[in-house]
Amino acid sequence: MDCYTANWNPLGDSAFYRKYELYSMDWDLKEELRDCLVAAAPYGGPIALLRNPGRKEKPASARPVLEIYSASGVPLASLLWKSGPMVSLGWSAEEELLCVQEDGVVLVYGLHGDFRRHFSMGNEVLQNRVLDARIFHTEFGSGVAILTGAHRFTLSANVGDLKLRRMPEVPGLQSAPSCWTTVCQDRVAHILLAVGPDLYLLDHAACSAVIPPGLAPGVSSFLQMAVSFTYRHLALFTDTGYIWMGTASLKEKLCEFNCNIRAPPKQMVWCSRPRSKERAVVVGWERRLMVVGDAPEGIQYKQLTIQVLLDRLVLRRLYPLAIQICEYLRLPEVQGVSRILAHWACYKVQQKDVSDEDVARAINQKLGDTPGVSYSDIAARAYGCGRTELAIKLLEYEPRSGEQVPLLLKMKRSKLALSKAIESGDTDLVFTVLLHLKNELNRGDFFMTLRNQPMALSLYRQFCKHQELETLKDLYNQDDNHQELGSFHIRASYAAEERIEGRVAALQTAADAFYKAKNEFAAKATEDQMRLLRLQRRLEDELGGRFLDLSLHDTVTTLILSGQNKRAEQLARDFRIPDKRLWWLKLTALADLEDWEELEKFSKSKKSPIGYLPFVEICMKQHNKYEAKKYASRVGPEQKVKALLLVGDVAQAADVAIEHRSEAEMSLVLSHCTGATDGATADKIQRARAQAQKK
Amino acid sequence: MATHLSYGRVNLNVLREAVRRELREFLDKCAGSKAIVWDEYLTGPFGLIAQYSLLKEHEVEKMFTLKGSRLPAADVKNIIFVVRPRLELMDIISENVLSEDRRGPARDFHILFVPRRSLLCEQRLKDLGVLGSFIHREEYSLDLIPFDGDLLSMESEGAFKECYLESDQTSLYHAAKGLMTLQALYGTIPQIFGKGECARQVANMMIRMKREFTGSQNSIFPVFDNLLLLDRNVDLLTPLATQLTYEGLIDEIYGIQNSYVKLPPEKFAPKKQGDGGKDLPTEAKKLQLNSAEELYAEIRDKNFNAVGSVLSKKAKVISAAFEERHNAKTVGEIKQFVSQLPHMQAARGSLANHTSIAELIKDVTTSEDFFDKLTVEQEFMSGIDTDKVNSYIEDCIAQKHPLIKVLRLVCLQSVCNSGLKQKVLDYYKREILQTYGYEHILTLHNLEKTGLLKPQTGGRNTYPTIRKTLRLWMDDVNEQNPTDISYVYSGYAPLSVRLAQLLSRPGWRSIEEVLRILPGPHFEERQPLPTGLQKKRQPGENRVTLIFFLGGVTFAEIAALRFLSQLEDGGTEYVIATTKLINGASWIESLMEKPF
Repeated sequence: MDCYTANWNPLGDSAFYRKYELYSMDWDLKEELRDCLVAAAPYGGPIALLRNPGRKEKPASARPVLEIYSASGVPLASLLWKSGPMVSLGWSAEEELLCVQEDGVVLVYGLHGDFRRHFSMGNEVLQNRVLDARIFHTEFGSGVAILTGAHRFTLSANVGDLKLRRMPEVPGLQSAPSCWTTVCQDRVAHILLAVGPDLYLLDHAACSAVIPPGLAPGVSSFLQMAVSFTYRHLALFTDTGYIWMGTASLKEKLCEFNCNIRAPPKQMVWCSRPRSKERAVVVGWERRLMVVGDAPEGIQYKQLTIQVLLDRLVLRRLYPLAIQICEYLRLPEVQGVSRILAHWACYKVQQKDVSDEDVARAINQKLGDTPGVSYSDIAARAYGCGRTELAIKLLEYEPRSGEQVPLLLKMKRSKLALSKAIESGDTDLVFTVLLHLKNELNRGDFFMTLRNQPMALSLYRQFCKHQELETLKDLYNQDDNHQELGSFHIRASYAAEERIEGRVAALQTAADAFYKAKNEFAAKATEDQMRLLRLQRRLEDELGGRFLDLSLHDTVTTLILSGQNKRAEQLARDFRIPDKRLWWLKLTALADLEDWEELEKFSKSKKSPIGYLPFVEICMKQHNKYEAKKYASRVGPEQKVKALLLVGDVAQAADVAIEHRSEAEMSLVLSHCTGATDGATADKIQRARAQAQKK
Repeated sequence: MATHLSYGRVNLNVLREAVRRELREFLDKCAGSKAIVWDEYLTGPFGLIAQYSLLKEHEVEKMFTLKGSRLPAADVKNIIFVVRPRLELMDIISENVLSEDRRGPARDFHILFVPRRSLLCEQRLKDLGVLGSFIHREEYSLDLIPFDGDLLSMESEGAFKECYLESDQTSLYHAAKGLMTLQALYGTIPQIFGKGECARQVANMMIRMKREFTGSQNSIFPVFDNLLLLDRNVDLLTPLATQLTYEGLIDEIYGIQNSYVKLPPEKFAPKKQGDGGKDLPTEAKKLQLNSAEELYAEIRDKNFNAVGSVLSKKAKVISAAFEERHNAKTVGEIKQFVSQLPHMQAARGSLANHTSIAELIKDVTTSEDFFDKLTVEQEFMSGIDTDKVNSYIEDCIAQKHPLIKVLRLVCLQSVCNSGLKQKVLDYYKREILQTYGYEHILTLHNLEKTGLLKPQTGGRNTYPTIRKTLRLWMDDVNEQNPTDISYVYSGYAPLSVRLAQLLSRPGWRSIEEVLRILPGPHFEERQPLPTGLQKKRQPGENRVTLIFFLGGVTFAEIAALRFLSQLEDGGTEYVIATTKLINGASWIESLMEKPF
């Protein structure tokens, strides 16, 4: 029995502990870890080390070295750090290494030390430099939080979809906070920071002071804070050697402990199972380690899902193993095999010793139309490796134009992009390419390209119609589209010109264009319009009042209404207004004036081309039965009954209807026999009807 | 909620629920209180999807109309712009955002594009320096909006103009996307038929989009047996004619917008209370019109001449039902009567409304001018005197009747004559320009470009052939108990619907000659189904056809299709989709250009 307990030592009264080496690392480190910037990825992921991270200028030989090891210490990559001074290192959830530089630039590397991309945390960060930085993980992805030299925070909650948020100022903050961390509440990232005895929570809109419930008095400063992996719990270490543990929402205290060590700890982390009730914090100093909690239990539970496991295998280029796992687990293709094949293809395109044709063919053979494979992603990778031709070949297999086109644009294959966009029918995509082309090509080439793509051309015309009128004119000119040029200048005569001379000139240009388009009608009409405009201007000068922009018809009407009958006649003659319409016009105008004398004179000037029923109607409309009756007698036989009924002469209407022997007219009159005196008339019609039927 | 959407063969509530879910999900992404800034045009269509109560449940506290300069003050965490992807709207949004930035406490801005995100618009926002201000930039693919149990519309106002005047296919792309959404919910449609250039393009896009989604096999049992895509310009005639169904006339006279109509209030004044007539309501009476209302469902598609008798019969039934109360003696009988009261009162209210509407319409339809206009329309459609200047049109111009009315008639004459003789055309154009103003030359050009107005070329009038082969003019129409679709125009059978009818039986092969005369290609495509999803039709089971009008459809055409659906031996039931619900006036208006 001895041998089992031999290496256990007592700890306090009731507990024992033992020490043994869990794992022996394969690495051969020359430096002390304490001199390096270190970042270990969660879930047993890789470890990154930056040796020599000194900040000041150094000779090239002393440049820092960035090393990446597997979790067991197998070297994966090593590269000389030639970029700017680095402040912080961290792994994203996708196992990408984020290196935050002092100037706010974040460089992104792959697991094998391959450079992926970089982005900046914004101008403010660039100006004030990075004082401190944290890489954190939320359900949306991995984020970066920056504390700048001006003691302001900037963060991006997801580096995959970079949106920078500059957090509001902390009132009265003159120096760096004693400690800070990111917390995630309601799916939004916040910053929790400590300034002297106070704690502040920063969200993007406000800075609010917070107080942990049940915090022991006497705290004048917080030295460390730690948030659990799930953002549920928070631990605070104060200058009194006191540890407060509670929920990150600061609503509840879990426990507290006074350790009487006042030195700031080097590190403080949560170690507990996510769903376990036993929560504990490990606090570490130079030579001392302490576990605080209800019951210490210290191994991190592995939360790896199958998807993440597969991702990890793929990152380590263990494709066949990953595929075997998928097949064994019978994962749906989209989630399993095709995703791994896509990753394989992305790796394949980096093999520079194989020709473009061979790579493209090999990829297509293996992937075919496998659902869920994005050829554009693979092509993007090929392009990233400088293999544009290969990328174009791969894109041919991509059925989604929405993916195809932007990449073609990025590769400066705009004309190909244009034809692909047109094929898709997605006009927004076509517009996007067009605006690209417009900036890329000189005007002549751009127009030539449009000319060969009628669909794009008509879309661009619409764009110009609203945004660039002058270009629209040039487009019509290029195509000798005189008809549209004519319409263009007609519009311009209204929109762009105010003075009559300008308007007439624009109309003249329009008329010339219509002639060229062999649209004689439009040309003549436009010339008539010019004539009318000039005349209206003269009328305004001579008579006052408003004439401009009245139609010809209304101009004549206005002249009659203002007693200018001669001028009205002249105008009607000049523009050859048809007789019938002129009669309607005069009739309406004179009735409006209630100039009954003039109306009667007019009616007798010659035989009315519109008959006399309209005269009756218009007089009745003006409630002048006396005048109406005058004209009723002149109405021709076909409309006589109608006219008599209009003026209320039912008896005579009946006589005419009977005379005409028209059944329709008789029933029309009957329907008007409503008055008390109409009884006799109704009888008369009924008799006539009966007689007609006998025959 | 929207039970009227689920009465048909295809439950369109499924679509409505799907789009509602999408909306809720977006709203929840923007955590906290919110204000929505609406592109005004969208409020109508959105009203059919989500009432304010739904928005309120998701913390929408304020709503504004998108306007220039500053936003009205609102104490909310999120501001969501719901807009169509149009450049001019982006300019307004950026003005709003920039002035808000200066105002103080930061808000979260979001933008929801309907129905599609646009790179072009985002580029514009970027150029204006505000793109980064938006936390969520997403699209809400509200392409087809359910209007009724058998009716979907995109309510895209400019679709016809864009397609046929400006060669802009944007709305066709949205139509294809909408059809993909429908197929995702109701299964792949195995057969696609089409007639017209736009129909061809939509079918091509659909086939292409299907390839893009190869990943996800659609495993839903198909609800639709086939899809018929029809270009509006295959049948330019029908919308020009005055609709003579009840619903069609309401739309012609008052205009139905997103299933609502605004009516003159006088007829709806409460009659019973006190000394009525003293203070008449001045605000228009707004009524929703859909088949949720039993009486409306019964009369909407009838010829207006058959509506009166239904209304009076209904009146008798209802007053008899109210009389029943005298017979109710026992407590149980009284209880039963009382329990039916709410339903009876609703029926009485509905009857009163429709009696008033019918009276309003009758005032119009019995006017002499309406009669004269109808006579001319019917002469044209039956092929009488289409080749010379019409004196009624001349008189309308001389008396300065509304220009839209004149244009509608002239276009009708042109279409019924395969174009007008040059001399006749020039005469009309000259009369219109002189009377209404020379600026209308732009409108006339637009009408000519779309083929609504044109000179007769080649000297052959093909309309008589089309009319006879498709039996477009029926002399013996029965308005009360119709036997043919021609009842919707009292004699004229809408060409579009005739095409659908003939496709269903006996098939288009019988009318090859006419199809060649009508513009654009006709085609058939098959979308193969996995064997498990192939349908075995029960004997006597009707096929379900989705008919999509690219460029708009009228209520009379919808009525005609419903008539066919209800025929006992018809064999086909129709679900109707369109880019926009139109009538002759709104359609012509969309093509008019007013330079000042």
